Amino acid sequence: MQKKINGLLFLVLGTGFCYFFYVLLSHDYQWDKIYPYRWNLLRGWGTTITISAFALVLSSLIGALLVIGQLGKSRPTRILSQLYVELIRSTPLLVQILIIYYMIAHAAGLQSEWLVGVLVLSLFSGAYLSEIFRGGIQSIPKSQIESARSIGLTGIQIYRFVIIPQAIRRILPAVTGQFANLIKDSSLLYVIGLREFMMQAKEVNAMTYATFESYIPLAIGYLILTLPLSLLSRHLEKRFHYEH
Amino acid sequence: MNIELRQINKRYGNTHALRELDLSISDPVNVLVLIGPSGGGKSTLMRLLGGLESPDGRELFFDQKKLIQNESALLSHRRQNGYLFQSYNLFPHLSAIENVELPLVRVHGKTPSEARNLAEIALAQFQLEKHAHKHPAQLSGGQQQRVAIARALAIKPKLLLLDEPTSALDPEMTAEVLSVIEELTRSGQQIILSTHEMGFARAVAEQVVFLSEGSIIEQGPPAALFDQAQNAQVKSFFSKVMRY
Repeated sequence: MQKKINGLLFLVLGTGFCYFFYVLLSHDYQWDKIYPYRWNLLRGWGTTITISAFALVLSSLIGALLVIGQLGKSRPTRILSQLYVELIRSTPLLVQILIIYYMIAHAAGLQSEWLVGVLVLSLFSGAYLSEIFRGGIQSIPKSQIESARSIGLTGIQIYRFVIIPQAIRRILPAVTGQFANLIKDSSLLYVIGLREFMMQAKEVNAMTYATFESYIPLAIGYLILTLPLSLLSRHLEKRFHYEH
Repeated sequence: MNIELRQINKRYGNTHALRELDLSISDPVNVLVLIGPSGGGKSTLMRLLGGLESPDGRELFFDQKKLIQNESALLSHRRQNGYLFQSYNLFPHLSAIENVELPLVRVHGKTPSEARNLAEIALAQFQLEKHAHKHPAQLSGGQQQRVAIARALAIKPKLLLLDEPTSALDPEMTAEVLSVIEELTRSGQQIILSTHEMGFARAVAEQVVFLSEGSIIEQGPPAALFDQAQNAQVKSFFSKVMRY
């Protein structure tokens, strides 16, 4: 059975890859068409990187605050934090981008697409990060807390010296994966007119009709950012596995 | 040691773990051993004595001083005593010596170099110098318990509470840990030990308490209790556990 599944999988994936490369290679490339627009693409790539970098920091902060809210003693704060996380996780990012940009940001007089982009990404990714953080904290066994209490640590010291250092090791692979998602998700920000990587590629395509030549650099540009992250995530996962 | 408990009760939901328990231990007793069937209340009593939990009403006295049942009083009680659980005492993200240093620095206000010094002495006392920089996962169960004892002793505890310290160990490691404890009992350290090792209990105890169903069934010096138990339940317990 296992062998049959392996064989079938090999056949399907192998054919898929062959066809994909056949299409890629048989295309008559005209790189000179998009060459004049190379700076547009690079600028877009740069915007994607800066937006993602800012959102990465801000979303970590939001995630940390939310997890404090969710695990804290105040019931209203706990309920609000949970409600926030559920609302964000249960709606598509695209819908959130449109609602926040066209309704909330406009009402608040916020005009900058760049700022709204960073905000939306951070609010979205922060909710996911808080769930990863919460999982990590709650995965630390009760016996560790007992042991920490027995040596006389206070509640805050228990978090600082016992729970958080152990939780960080456990969640690092998932957090790295979430950061890769954040970079990819930033491609949806073109819908509010933000001139990031995706938007630039679409424009170049519209001006040159060179679809392959516009979108292949786009894919490679994202891969350069996300592939190292997912390799790092795998590496961390393995290291954590050996430690225990 | 000077301990007095008056009509202590402890309930967990519907389980009545300790019922109207009275206990009075006074000098010159230094080594108190709790024995009895599992679920009889040994661990619960240990946890109350160690300040890890509060009884339902009524009173605990240490050296004629009432142990007030609020978090700050319990915290300072925990800080002056040492506590050892069955297993998982150590923090897996810290090396053996860092485990010993943590309470010295964070709870007892030692400088890092003082703490290093004290930790080295404590580890050397149990021949653990060459394991000082290993993490718990690299140590055997017996070594882990010995490091945990070293950590508890490094703070010079008034009272050392050992809650079934060998129950999770194989016979060889049990012997290794028991010999350490035996050494401590001879050094004049005040110890309360709960155990299923009857031979050991008899050898080191100065006073033995037999607990069953949340009450003290019988109490006395080891020779009297082991050889001339009055209570039928105690006699039948001994005849069962001593049979093989």
